[in-house]
Amino acid sequence: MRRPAGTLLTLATPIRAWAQRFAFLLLVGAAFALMLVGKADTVFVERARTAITDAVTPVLDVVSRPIASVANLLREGQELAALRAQNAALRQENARLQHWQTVARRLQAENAALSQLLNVAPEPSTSYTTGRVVADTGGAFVRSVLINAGAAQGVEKGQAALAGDGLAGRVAEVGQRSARILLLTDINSRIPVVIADSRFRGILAGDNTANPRLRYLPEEARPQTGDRIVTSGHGGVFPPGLPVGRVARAGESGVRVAPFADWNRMEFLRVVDYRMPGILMTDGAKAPKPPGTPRHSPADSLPELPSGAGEGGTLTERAVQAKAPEE
Amino acid sequence: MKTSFWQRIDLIARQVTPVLLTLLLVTLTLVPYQIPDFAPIVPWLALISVYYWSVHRPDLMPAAAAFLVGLYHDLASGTALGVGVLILLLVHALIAAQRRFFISRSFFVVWAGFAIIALGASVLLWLLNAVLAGALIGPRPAVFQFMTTVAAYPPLAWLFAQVQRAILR
Repeated sequence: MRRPAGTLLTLATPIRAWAQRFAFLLLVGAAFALMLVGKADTVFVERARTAITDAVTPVLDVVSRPIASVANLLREGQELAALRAQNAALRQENARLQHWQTVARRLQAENAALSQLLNVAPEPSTSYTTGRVVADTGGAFVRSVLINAGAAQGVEKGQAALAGDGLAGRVAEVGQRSARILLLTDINSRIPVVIADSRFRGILAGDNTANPRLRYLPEEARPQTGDRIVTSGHGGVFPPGLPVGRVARAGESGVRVAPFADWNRMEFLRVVDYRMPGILMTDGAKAPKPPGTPRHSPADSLPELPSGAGEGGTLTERAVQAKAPEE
Repeated sequence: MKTSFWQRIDLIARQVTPVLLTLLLVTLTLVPYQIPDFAPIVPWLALISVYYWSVHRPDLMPAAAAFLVGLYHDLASGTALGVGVLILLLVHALIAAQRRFFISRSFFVVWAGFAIIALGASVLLWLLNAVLAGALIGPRPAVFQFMTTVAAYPPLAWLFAQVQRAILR
């Protein structure tokens, strides 16, 4: 086989070497151009990405199945050992949940009656599409997964993706039969959330660590460790009230949230199709949640990303005011 | 000497083997292995492959192939576009410029060379990602990925050597 000694060839054919060097520079230039294009987030790049993921997904789907089976087997083996203790704990939890069920039923009926009384705009319907996680991509700098459901199954960009225990992320790219879910721990992930009890709003901003940061909280919000964080529904793509996580650390260095979603056993994701009755972000389209109306003034309401101006709260504020006369 | 059609097909198939193998390995890094916390530190197999072939058979891993591998990696894994491309190209060029150093060295020297290049590549990857994200990214996953990548070099080099012996000669 030919195995050219680099230096000899260079001496013999300087033109060829020059051409090679030129080609190399051209490729490096192309790499920089790709960086710029990729940073600009053009439709073209997205198409290229989805074309690739569409092509790879069937392969990954096949490869990931036996691995998932083995992982399940191992997990079941571990769980078998703890069966008795788990059973007792579940019995206890079941009793507790039975109680909660009656409470929830009563509240649901009460809520329906009150909503009717106040003429609250109906909540948009929600449907789910489930996809298998076929790729856990990205390496050290991106937190995203691919699922084997795409536009053909009704997945759309921006929708929320749920793991069994809570919000996992949002749909970032959609192909025909694959979709990329940007996990909420990714550095590019921004999700409008609310502290479940105090109703203070903020943005859950990922930074590639396991515990994303809760930002843009109003001054007087004093989140405590263990506070539940749910989606606020601002922006109109995510349904409000999806469980996100608990406050893990709250201190001078910022508030960190431990997501409910278990990244290590994420086998299926449910994509939430939440149809708003109107166009996105139109006023009044969002049904205000009567018990959870903001306690704080509009001045410290949620800033819209990325501008950071304090006007994001006006949307619900206005919706609430629109309802006020009927009270 | 005239080569028949099938001989030519055979030759082409042998010549694209390294690149196809690399693309396959990149695809395998995407599979969810369901091992706790493995995904962020999955070894950078594209780097290993481009390094190995650039050292041992540069004629089968030209700069354009390194570009292609990087592009596939960046598009499929959802990382910042162009970053992997640029780093693989630079690694390829560096080895092409320093080929004398690598010729007929022992395995451990080549491995050490890989560790040094992987260190530079990881730092560059971290910097470029931070610049493109416009934020400081914690370096810990990058450090661990560097370590898994260096650790994954010997078994993969063995695999490539088998392929080289069996298919390419």
